[in-house]
Amino acid sequence: MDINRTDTGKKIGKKELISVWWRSLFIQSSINYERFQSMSFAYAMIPALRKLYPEKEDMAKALQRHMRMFNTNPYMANPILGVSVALEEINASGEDMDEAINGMKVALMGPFAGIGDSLFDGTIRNILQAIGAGFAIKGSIFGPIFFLLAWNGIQLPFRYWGTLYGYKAGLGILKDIKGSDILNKVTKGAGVIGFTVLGVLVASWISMSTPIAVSMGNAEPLMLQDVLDSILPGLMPLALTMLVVWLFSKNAKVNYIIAGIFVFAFAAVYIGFLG
Amino acid sequence: MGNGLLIKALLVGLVTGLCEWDIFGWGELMTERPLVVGFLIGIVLGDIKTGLIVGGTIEFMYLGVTYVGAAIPPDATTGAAISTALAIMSGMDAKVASAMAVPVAVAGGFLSMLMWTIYIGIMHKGDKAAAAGNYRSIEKMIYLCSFGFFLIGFIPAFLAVYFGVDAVKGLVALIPEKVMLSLQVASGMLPAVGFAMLFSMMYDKKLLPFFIIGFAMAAFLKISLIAAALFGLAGALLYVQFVRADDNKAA
Repeated sequence: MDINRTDTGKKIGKKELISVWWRSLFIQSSINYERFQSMSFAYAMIPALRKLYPEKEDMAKALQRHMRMFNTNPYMANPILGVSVALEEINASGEDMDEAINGMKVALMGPFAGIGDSLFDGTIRNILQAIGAGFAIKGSIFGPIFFLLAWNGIQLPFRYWGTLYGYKAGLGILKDIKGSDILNKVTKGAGVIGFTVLGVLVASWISMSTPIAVSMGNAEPLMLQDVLDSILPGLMPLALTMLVVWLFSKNAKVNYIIAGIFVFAFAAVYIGFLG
Repeated sequence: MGNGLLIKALLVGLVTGLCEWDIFGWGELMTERPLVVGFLIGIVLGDIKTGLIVGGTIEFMYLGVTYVGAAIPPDATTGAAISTALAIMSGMDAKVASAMAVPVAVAGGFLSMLMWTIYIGIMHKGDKAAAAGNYRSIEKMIYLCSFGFFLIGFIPAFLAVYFGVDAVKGLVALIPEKVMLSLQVASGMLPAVGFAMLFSMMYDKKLLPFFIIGFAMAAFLKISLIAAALFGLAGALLYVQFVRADDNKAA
């Protein structure tokens, strides 16, 4: 529990934070169904990680940490990047922050996705698009130009400010860490929120449903999905997730699991079990 | 006409590719919106006014169509680009042109789905690079992935302008419906892998109740993520105040 950041001399400056902000603009570039923005998050962290971890082994650990599943609203990724940079800085000073960093990312990504999707995409951008389209439809060049300037005049500075603010907040939370139980509390607390959010995500971001209908003579056909939902909605996503957890505990290779999901999906669609 | 058409198709493809690239590459500047796409296609095809009008019309049709969670909507960018090109090149009405572009927008959405799947493989290569501490390799993969999204705009737009919308429709029709559906079903299931990884890694017997609470709140009460996080926060505060205190006593 002894932190002396000033001794190590490995401190993040504005230069690194600006680089992280700039690279955050690539947050969607490697998006995929398994872990969404994970690799792009790692990519955005690189300028800070290079400064903090000159040793290849430390760099490898940090990169692997940020290759874990991550997905949020693009504009809200920046405060999370900022906090991550702050926590990495503490980690580099000798305190093991692996669990805290991951817990914080999982705890924040879900709610930030909700906030960002409705604030930025659902509200601000829609309003600006409607105004812009209103001008464009009358043949005015002002429409698209106004839209691009207004939107980027909001989102780019927000993401810059979000990165810096996240960094300051991250250091602030753990400022008086020396000799106290705060780090442990933050780590455990992030774990609690993270696990709650994970439960929500399993129920809402995995989609599986069956079109099987049992004919009931003259009456309405009985939909199997309705029966399943009346027992436990989200039963199939939960069962699938737990199955994969079990496979991981048996050291199954992730590539085989993914291939298995594809084979299962095709088979299930062709026999009419899923769709 | 032959050469002129090729150049026009290349220009439309280029603009569409660059616009499409935006949200998956460089910064969500929102050049992908129909409003902007129509304007830019208008510039390269030499009829800015029509471009603006068609772009604005389609913008109103697709207002609110956006990426939410993990679902992929029809590709409004490609659709808008082709509609605008059709309207300028053949004088078609904006509404008719945009209706014609719908199948191409669907094809564009299908290509996105394909990319989201292919990039799983590239990310696994990234895992290896990360384990070796090789950040330069990760950087290269990011640029490669990013560029892939240029292609999914360029290819359908180029084909639709050069060979005609009907040709693209024919291509889409070649893909069996069940194959499309299977890929959609698989894409709905794949996030389970990422969640399972997080679950395995963060697992702690004492945290399990919170996973159950989160799941039950979402499954039965359809609670939003923000509300869930607040319940989680309350749980976290209780946990560090009471459970942790017990931990320390035991230790």
